[in-house]
This record gives sequence, C-alpha cells and structure tokens, in this order.
Amino acid sequence: MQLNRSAKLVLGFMIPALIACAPLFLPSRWQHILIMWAVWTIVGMGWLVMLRVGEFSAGQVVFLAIGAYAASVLTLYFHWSFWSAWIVAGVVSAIFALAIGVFVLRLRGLYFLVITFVVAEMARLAIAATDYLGASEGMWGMPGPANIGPISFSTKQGWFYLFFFILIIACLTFWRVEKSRIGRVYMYIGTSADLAQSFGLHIMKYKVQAFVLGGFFTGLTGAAMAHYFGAISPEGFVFYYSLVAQIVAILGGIGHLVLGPLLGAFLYAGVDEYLAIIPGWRTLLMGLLLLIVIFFLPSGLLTLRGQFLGVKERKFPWYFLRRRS
Amino acid sequence: MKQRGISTRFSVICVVSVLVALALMVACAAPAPTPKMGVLKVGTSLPMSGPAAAWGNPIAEATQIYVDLLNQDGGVTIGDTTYTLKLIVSDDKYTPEGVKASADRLVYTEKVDVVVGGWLPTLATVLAAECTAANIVFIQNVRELPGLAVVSPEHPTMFNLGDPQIQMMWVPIQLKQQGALPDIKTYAMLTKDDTIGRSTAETIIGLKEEWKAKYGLDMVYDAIFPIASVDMTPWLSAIAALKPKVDLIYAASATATNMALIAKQSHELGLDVPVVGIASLTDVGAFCDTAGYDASQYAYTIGCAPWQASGVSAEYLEMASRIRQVYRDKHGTDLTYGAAFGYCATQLAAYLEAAKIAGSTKTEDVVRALETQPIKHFYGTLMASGEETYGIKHRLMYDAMVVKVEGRETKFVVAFGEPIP
Amino acid sequence: MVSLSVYWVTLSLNYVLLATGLTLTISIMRVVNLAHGHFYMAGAFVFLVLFKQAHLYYGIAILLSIVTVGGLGMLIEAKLYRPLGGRIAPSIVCMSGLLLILEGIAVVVFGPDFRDIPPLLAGTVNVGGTVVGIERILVACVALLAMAGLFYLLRYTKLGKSMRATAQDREAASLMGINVGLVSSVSMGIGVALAALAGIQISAVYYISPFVGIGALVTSILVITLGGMGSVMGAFIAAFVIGACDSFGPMLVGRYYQLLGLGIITLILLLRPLGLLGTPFEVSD
Repeated sequence: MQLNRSAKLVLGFMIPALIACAPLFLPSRWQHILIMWAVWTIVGMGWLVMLRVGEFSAGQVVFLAIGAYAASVLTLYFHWSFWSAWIVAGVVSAIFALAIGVFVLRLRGLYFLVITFVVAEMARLAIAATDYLGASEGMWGMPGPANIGPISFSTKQGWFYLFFFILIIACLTFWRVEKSRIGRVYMYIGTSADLAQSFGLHIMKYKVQAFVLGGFFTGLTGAAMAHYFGAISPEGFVFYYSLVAQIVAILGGIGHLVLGPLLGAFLYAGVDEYLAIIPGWRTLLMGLLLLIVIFFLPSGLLTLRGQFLGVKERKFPWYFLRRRS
Repeated sequence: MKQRGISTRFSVICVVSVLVALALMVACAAPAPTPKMGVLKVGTSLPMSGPAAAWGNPIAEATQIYVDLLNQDGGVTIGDTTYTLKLIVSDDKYTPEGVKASADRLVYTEKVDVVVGGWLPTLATVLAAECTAANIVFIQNVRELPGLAVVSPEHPTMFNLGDPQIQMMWVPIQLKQQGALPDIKTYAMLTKDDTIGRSTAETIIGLKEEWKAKYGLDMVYDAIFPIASVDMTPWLSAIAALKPKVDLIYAASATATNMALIAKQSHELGLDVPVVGIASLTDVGAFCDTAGYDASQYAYTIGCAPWQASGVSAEYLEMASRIRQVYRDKHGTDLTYGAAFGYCATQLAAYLEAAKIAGSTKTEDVVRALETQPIKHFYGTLMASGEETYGIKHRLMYDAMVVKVEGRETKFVVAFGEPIP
Repeated sequence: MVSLSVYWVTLSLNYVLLATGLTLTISIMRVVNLAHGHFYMAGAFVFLVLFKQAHLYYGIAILLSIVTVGGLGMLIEAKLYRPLGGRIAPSIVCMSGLLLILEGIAVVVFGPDFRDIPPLLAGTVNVGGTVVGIERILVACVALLAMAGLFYLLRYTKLGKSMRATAQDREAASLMGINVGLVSSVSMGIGVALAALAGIQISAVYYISPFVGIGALVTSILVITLGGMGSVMGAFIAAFVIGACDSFGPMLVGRYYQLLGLGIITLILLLRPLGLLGTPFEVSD
C-alpha cells in the first residue's frame, strides 16, 4: 500500500486517538475480542514471517508458553514488577528461539515442521510435569501491573492499551521488515534457498533472525496474556493454538505480512467469541473456512477485492514451497 | 295533577343515581396491587467443550432443568417482585483463555446478577476477581483449598458451598465401621500425580499405622499414577499379584475417568474387589459406559443425590425428584449427585433462599443473609461458618455421603461429618 | 514384570499401526498428515456406530469400519490433496482444516462424552504367574496380523511394489507405466485404515472421545521422528522404544515418563538427525 505523506500523518494521529478512546465507549465484550485480535495477529505474524523464509512452523504456541510462564514465575515467585518481567519474558523467548533455531533450522521443510511440533509438545509436557510451574493445575494469582495514573489495570482499560501498544510496535516492525531489504532477502530465501545461497546470502543467519523476531513478539504477547487472564495452565498451550496461528494468516492472506494476519485475526477473534455457544459447530466451521480459503482463495481474503476487480492474483507466496519431484 | 305512586321521571332519577353511586364506589375502591415482574440472570461457567466437556454438560443440563421448573412454577418471589430466572451457561473450554473470556462474558456482556458454580482454582480466581469488581454474589465449590485461601480475603461476596475435602479420605474407614464393608482388612491405594493427590497420599501413609491398629485396615500397596494415564494395568497387575488378594482398591485421589478405568481394567484382570474413590460422578450412565457395566458395579464413591441424603427439606426433595424425572425422561439414565446438583444447582438454590430471606436481590442484603441465616438447599440446611476455615470465612459445608453404583444408578451407603477422633 | 512386558508389547504394536500408517501417508504426500490422529478417532466412532447401533458382528464391524475410513482417505487424497499440486503449505493447511472438520463432526454428532467399546473376549489368562486380559492379547495378535499383511503387500505384490516405486520417485514411476494417481490414493487409504484399526483396537481397552485425535497424532509423530520418516522398519523399532517409555515409564519415573521418551528422541536426533533408519528424501526446495 502506497501512502503519501499526508495520508500517513493523518493515520498516524487517527489510529492512536481511536485506540485511546476505545475503552471508553466500547462494551467489554468487544474490548476482549479486540485484545484477542491483537494477540492472534502477533502470533500469526510470527508464523507468517517463517513462511516467508520458506519454513512451515507447527510450534508457534511454544513462544506464547515460554513468555507466559517466564513472566509469571518472575512476578509470582520473585516479586518482580510486571514491566520488567514482561520485557525479560520476551527476551527469554527470543533466546529460546535462538537456541532452538540454530539447531532446528538446519533441517528443511518437513523435518522442520515435525521438530517444531515436537518441541512445542515437549515444552508443554515438561511444564505439566513441573511442580514449580504449577504442574497441570497451572499458576494463578500473578500480580498485574499497578495503575499508571488514570489508566487502570484492574479493569480492561490498561490491558487494552498494553496489547495495542505491543500490536502497533509489532506491526511497525514487521511492516518495516517487509518493505526493507531484509524482507526482500527473506523472500529470496523463501523462493529458492539454493539460488539465494549462490548469491552469497547467509541463509541460516536470516532464517534464525526471522525465527527470533517472531519468537520475541510472541513471547511478549504471551507474558501480557498470562497476566491479563490472571491464570495459566498447560491446557492453554495445546497444539490447537499453533493451528490458530496458521488459520489467522491463511484466512487473512499470506501476501502481506501485516495486513493478512490483521484481517484473519479479526475474523477469528470475532467468530470464536460469537460462536462460543456452539463449540462443535465452531470447530467445524473453522475447518470448512480453512478448506474453502485454501481451494478458492489461496492467497487469503485480502485478495478478495482484487478478485472482484479482475486483478490477477499474486501467486508468489506459495512458489517457494513447491515440491520438486 | 299528581300521579299514582312514584313518577317515571323520579324512578329514572333514582335508578340513575344508584347506578352512578355504585359506579363511583367501584371506581374509588382500592385497586388490586399488580405484582412486579423481573428477570434474574444467573451465570455459570462450565467446560462445555474440550476434554472436560463430558463433565460439564450434565451439570449444565441439570441446572437448566432446575431453572425451567422454577419458572414453570411461576418464578421465584423475592420481596415484592416475582422473578423469571434466566440461566446463562458460558463455555470456558477448560483453558485459561476460555475461562477469562467466559468470566468476562458473564459479568460484562450478559450482566448476570449472580454467578454460581466454579470448581477449579484458576476458574474461581478469575471469576472471583470479576464478581468482586462488579459487586455481585459468587457461590462456588472449589475443592482445592490452597487456591481459595489465596483469593478469599479480597472477595467479600464470594462463598464456598460444598462437601468436605479433608474428611473424604476417611471413606474406607467409614465403610468398614458403619457396616457397609465390615470384612475388609487390606487395601491398595492409588492416587493421581498432582499436588492434591500427593499430599493426600502422604497424609494417608502417615495414618497407616493408626488405621491398622485402631480399625484393622492395613495398606498393603500404594502407588501414584500420572494424571493422564489411560492404562492402569501396570499398577493393577502388581495389585492383582498380591497374596492374599487385597480386599479393596482405594483411589484416594482420582478423577471419575481414572476411577472408571481402574474399575474396568481391574475387572479385566479378574480383580473383582470394591473400587472406592472420591470422584464425583455426574452421569452414572456414562460412568457405566466407560467402565463397562459389570465392572462399574464395584464402584463406591463420594456424593449422592439429594433424595439419598438426610436432612433435606421436603421442598428441595421434591424439586430434586422432578429434575431427576425430566432428565430420565430425556436420557433414559439417572442423574445423581455428581456435580449435577452439587456444583451448580445447590449453589443457585442457596442464593435464591438467601435472597428470599433478605427480601431483595441487592448484593449486600443477600451477603448478609448468607452470612447469618440458616440456608436451605439441596443437601440440607446450613449456616455459614464464621471462623476462618482453611482461610475462608464464608464456608457452608455439608456431610460427606458415600454411594455405591447399582445398575445404572447409585445407592446411598453411609454418611459422615467429622472424622472419627 | 511379565504383565508389564505384555503391556509393553500390546501398546507398542498399537503404536506400530499408528506410526506405519503415518509413514505410508508421508511417503505419498510428502507432508505430515496432521489429521492422522483424527482418522484414528473416526475409525473408532464408525466402529461404535456399526457395532452398537447397527448390531453387526464384531469382525464384520471392524472390517467395514476400516474399509469406510480407508475409502474416505482415498477420496481425500484424490479430491482434496492432489489438486493442491503437492505444495507443502497448502497441503498442511488442508489437513489442518480436515482435522478441525473431523473433530467438529464428532462433537456435533456424538457429543463430547467418553464412550466405551466392549471387548470381544472377556476373561483372563495366566501368563508366567501374572494375570493378563485376553482382549489385550487379541489386540496384539490383530496388530501383528495387520503388519504381516502389510509387509507381504509391500514386498511381494505388484501393488506393493508400485507403492514403493511411487514413494521413491513419482515421475520415474509414472514413466514406468504405473498409475501414480491410483497408487497414491490406495497408499493413503491404507495408511488411514491402519490408523482406524489402531483406534478401534485401543478403544476396547481404554475409551474413545472426540478429543483423542491430538494425542494419537503426537504419539505417531514422535514415533516416526525417532524411527525416521518413510521407513516402515524404523517405525516398528521406534514404536517399541516409545512403547517401552510409556509402559515401563510410569512405574519407574512417575509423571515424567513422557519426558523420558522425548529425552530419548532428542538424544537420538542429536546423533542422527534423520531418525534411526531415516533416509533423506526430497521434501522441499
């Protein structure tokens, strides 16, 4: 999207202003939906950036878990302030991504997928077996942040601002990445790693970088989420949530790193909340939506407008995952 | 010229005057008071999907039947208003995210007037926070006490209504002493591997010598199994290999599913001894389905239906029977204690009683009534304990009641309150 | 000890069925079938309906369930998977969608409760001083039979050879005149049918619910990761290793038994990243 200077200025003021006012007039249910929207957008972007470099991650939920538990341990057992615990949790998550990534990203394609799946499950089971982390009952009673001036964290208001703060920072970061040289490099690597390598690009470095970036933001989100909920347990980090990262990005459109997950997460958060009363049908509907999108709109709902206008669909995102045989 | 008698005109005037007088009298009579109507929204959060759904759905259904019957009877009259009850069941999916969304939905979106039920510390914590913020009454049944102690001081509108946790480990002793299983001499203990399970195991092992000396009940085997185990054979084979054959398997801390599998697999191994546990069975038919009909007949567990308990008022006995009948007509199986009555409906009953006593649905009034008056509900009549029991001031506790599975129903066996000194 | 060993063998054979099914589908699809665990679940539910409600004979119900689910697998391969052109990401997304759909259908139709499948043969037998349920022995025998049948199929029949050829090199196979499309469908069908058989078997001993799919998926993925993707022998060995962890584990290390298995896998992967008997095959770029 090309925006001229004045459009950017207007948006730059309007969006924060809208967000600042929102808790005052939005009903609580919608505040919750929007908060979850922010959460899934970030997790989706973390997944999508990996897809960009050509890797399909099936374990994004592990970063949510690490961020959540790291922060909770710090605030509950070590009595750290929420803010320090939050940042540290993000860093811990990033370090974890680094440590795992360095080993796991050597593997390609199918193996990477399986290993990320295994790592996520392994982490979850390890947590469920550790008494210090609350084992299967989980942890609760983590103290949240104190109120900042008039912004209260005992109601949703403060959390709303916090999650949107993370969302904006994450969106800006990923937008910059998409537009900059790094983003192009990711695409080259994703399209054909061998070719990119022959150009002298150090593939591992970029892949790990993308992994850590996604891990960091997802970890931050997980830490905030844990304190927003007030309680966490291993049940909240099951494989299904890694699927949600996929759903969100696919539904919205994998063509755009930021707008795709943004759109997809909005749909998901809304559907999840409004169909909560019919759980079986909700799961069924999600599955059908995925299939419909994959078959009829492979690049996601973002391209819907283009399709109506007869614009040829940008096929590039799927190129680099073509099987060769 | 004077007419004979009363003139027509005069008659007409008289009649009209009388009629007008009558009309005026009727019009000025005190108007009959029209009853005020209202809607009382009751919220509860249950796992309706996900792994615990088999547990949550019968509870929701039983509570819904209760609410429907109350409405059918003309609603609930509190003070001068007659309320139609509306039950809102929110699915918490048994995940932290679900719990938060659920609590939110109940308190802010649906704006319920009271929240009942809540059996997990995570769930209770989140709900308690929301209910306190919204200043509405919250009556729960959290069994895991450490969680309660953490949150209760900040939540003056929260009450705990349930059966006793600590006393329950005396079930085998009570079964022996009260003549239900008089000949048992040895037992094998199995507990699930979580905080409660391990502490229960520790306590009972500590009591081992005392139980042997005083009651003639000896523990010959004990093991802790992972909570998610689906195959109990490793431990059951070891138990089956004991000579002489053990008299009882005591699942001192186990879920209903654990118990069903223990019953099923011990039966498979030919180990047909009573399986005693403290898990609540929502739907006995489902338990028999999971364990297999024959195996399920060996199960004893905690909790019974209101019609099996003693000290329940006639009013609540009748209501409980009606709920039972509706469920039976629909499903063909019986709905006994389980959490069906004890985890939601009883808490609702207590709230309604307190509101009726107080004559209003204002939070402060109901809380005062709950704190000071005897409250009737499905398991008797209780007064809140004023002392700090396990860190909670607002605790209404009834006797532990043991049942045995018979056919596809349960039969009351023994009840006990305080542990034997 | 004896009963634990029996437990180990029966559990491992069940894992073998699951994992072999997954390996087969991987060799054809080149991607992990994330819905594999849900076919396991679907098989058990179809059997439940056929046996308990349609009152068919036990054996017939099993056969029919396997054929139904296998047929479903073939259909999915032909209609859903193949049009996606073999690209990884769309395929996985398609399978994820399928996973959700299967679970949704199961919850809507059967409700979230646990169900029990009655065992075919009740009773016990005395093996080396301990008591073992006959049903478990039956389960083990059926699994062995299925594996033997599969082995025979792959080794000695024309279909089996076509399957192996297609798995190795699709283009070359089609050049050799093999109907690659049909063979792919059949492989998928067999893989899925094995999962269904595993589901039916194990439900007789435990229980079934719509939510057991993910657990089965985790187990099968762990086994093939350890054994090496695409290797049937590897799956067999790895199944017994993981089976040992899951059977002896709870007695030895209590609730850490799952970590034991995962720890072993991590170790093996550090030494042999492709699994015990894994061979690298082209999956992407």
